[in-house]
Amino acid sequence: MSMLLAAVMVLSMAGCGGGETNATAAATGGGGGATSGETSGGQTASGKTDLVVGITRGITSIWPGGENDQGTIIMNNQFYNRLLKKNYTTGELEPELAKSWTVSDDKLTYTFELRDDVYFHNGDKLTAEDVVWTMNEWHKNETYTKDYLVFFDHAEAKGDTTVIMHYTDVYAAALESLSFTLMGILDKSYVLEKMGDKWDSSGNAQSRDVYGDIEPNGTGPFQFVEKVSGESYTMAANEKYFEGKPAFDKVTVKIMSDANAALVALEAGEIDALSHAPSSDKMAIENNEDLVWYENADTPYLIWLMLNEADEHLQNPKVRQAIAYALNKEEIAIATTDGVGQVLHSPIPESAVGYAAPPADYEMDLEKAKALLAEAGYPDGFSIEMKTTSSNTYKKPSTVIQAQLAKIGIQVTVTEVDTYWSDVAAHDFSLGVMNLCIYVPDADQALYPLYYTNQKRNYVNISIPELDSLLDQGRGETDLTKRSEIYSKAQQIFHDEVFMIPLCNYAAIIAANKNLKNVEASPVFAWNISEWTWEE
Amino acid sequence: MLKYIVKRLLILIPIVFGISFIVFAILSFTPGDPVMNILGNGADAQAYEAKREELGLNDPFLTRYFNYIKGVLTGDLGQSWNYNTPVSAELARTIPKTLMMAVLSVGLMLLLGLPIGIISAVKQYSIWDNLSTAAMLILTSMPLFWLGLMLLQKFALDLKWFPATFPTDGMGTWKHWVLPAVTCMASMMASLVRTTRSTMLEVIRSDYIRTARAKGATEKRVVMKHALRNALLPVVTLVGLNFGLLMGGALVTETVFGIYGVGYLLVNAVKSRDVPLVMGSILFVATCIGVVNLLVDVLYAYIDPRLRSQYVTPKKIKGEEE
Repeated sequence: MSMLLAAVMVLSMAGCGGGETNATAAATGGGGGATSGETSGGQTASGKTDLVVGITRGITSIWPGGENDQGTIIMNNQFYNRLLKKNYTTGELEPELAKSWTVSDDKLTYTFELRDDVYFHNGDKLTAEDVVWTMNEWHKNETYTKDYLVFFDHAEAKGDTTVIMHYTDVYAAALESLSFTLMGILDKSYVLEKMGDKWDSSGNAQSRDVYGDIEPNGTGPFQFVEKVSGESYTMAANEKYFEGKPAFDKVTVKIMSDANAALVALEAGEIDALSHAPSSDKMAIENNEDLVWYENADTPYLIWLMLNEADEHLQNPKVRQAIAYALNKEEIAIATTDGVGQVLHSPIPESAVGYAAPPADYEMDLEKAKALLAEAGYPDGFSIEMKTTSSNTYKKPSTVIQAQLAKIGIQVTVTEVDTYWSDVAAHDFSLGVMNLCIYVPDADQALYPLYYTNQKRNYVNISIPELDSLLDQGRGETDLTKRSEIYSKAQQIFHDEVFMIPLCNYAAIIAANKNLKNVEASPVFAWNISEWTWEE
Repeated sequence: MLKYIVKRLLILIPIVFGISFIVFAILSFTPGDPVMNILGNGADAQAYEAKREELGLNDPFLTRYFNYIKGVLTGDLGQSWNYNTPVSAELARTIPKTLMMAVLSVGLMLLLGLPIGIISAVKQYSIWDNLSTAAMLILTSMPLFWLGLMLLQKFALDLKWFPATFPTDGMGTWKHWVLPAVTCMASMMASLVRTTRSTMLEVIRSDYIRTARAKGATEKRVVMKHALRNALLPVVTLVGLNFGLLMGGALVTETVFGIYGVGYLLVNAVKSRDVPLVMGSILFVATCIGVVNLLVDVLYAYIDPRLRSQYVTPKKIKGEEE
């Protein structure tokens, strides 16, 4: 009986499933066809029209202001446009939805003239009212986007194509912030109609909650087709995109949790590009003549060590300096980023507006470190806890730091906790690694939210009046030379107080089939899929 | 027999609810903040508290549990906190894949494992027996994720016999299931082969087998008709156990091959403290295991008629004294 049952089960395999999906067919078509009959469902005489992009990270939200993880950034860049966009090659801001803009002499009023040929995916025409409503709502609600609307007061429309944004104080990074990927403009009538009473006008709506589960409707080069939770997002080309229809009719972004399996899929041609390809696979991909490795090491994706002075051992600046002298940043960078990232010496990314060269960094000197510890009253070292998460992004640098500090007698216990984020937010840690991408590469965004007194992301919980004063000056100073001087002084405080130690950065990486052209590794992970083409 | 089945199904209900209570308690009292996962780590205190209130997290544990059960009894498994979609929709999407994986893996396991086990027993200490022992040892020692990746590398990438990824929608074709089923089956086959071998050896040495041979029955008839059936009970237990466990999702296989079933859903739900999704998944898994165990017990009665009396209440004979 069991044999019969087994035979029936096996024979039932023949009846499984239906035909191939277009995404898989197109992907295998591009790679030469993994199996017979699975060629190019989406391929036309002129080339591929369907693209499959794998990503080894999750995608939390497909709404602006909903979250700030890189998956969200990538999707937002396809569905939405902003008033301005940043050219990361030249460093200049360029028009996007706004074709021009002026700034008042007192730098408190920004006037934008919108393009007149932009439509949302549902056919609604973009008007000034949409921009005004978007900005005002974000500023009212507790979204991630609000953090970038510094000193913003309100926006108003003048006619259908003029938007006037009012600020209460001068913010040097105001325009830069408006180019942030998560500043996509929403269709007011669509959102209000879909959300109805659920739209929270009290101002308490939070990041992921704001838009509920309604489908996105932006002006971007791609429009939403389908989402399979935790698995994939499918989007179709926006035929009426104001910068021209993208080359690909359909793009599927596939979440692939196993990076090794993702690499096999890329090599087999079943996915055409792999976002966030593991840096450990660089050599394998570069040695594969069918694949291309795109990398940008000048990213504002920073990793640093936090030192919380709430721990009694870390209250003495000599102990913190000793820790700085004990670290070998090259070793940490190699271990953490497989050698793809760069060592950092400053809390401000080099590509950031307002960047100033930091003071000379602490070069590894174990004897000096031990001497400082002895002066601080710890000649034999001490024990301390370092919390981390299960993610390698945090665990790898933590274990390397643990080994390095052991050489000067500091016994670090690395504790993996599920509550890492809430512990860090509650300042309940001694040592901890942090990594964040400063999506708006401006010195103010790199420092103010993280180190100004009582800011919610001031994880090390510092309060240094002199630093606060400098940060206040820096964010209001529009002269670049003066800004650099201010941030130079601020970095001296960082250097002397050592409440954080910059370690390295992560490179932006995307691996792709050699036939996929115009691919660039954006330093802020905003892949411009609309510019990609396929040429065999 | 029908009464027995109904009784077992009714007993399953409190068991499933008991499991749900334990799991709910674990989720409620272990460290980890679901609100932080929902709102992100930049949430301010006021919004944080508002969210806690909205999710009922400020209510006492028992109130929350009973509210959840009330929903379940009215067919509402709740809304996933992470995906913002109905839990029932997420389960409806993932269960078919998990079911297919379980059926194929167990089917393949039986198709290959049973004959190997039988041959090993019948030809004990022969080269076939030794080879199968070695093969099963290798299979059981191999990490699943490594085996899966090696199969992908060889059969999907080098030989291009099978696809490397699972389609984003639908159930794919039979080719999409071969490598995952083989990977999943590999870890279970060793125990099936060894169990089959040892029970067959026990049965083959029985007196009635000697009698059957003495009566002139062919070896094939002796093994397949007489010995196998009597050796099947532990095998059926093992198959039922594995099937039930697979219904909880073969997480490693699902992750490597991108077949996002119940296992993947459950693990991600646990990581993000998505309580409704965890609870819905657990209810499903617990029910499956209970039903599979019942099916195994019923199958026992068909394989071994001597056991049928245990499932049937004997009828009183008229006039029999008590």
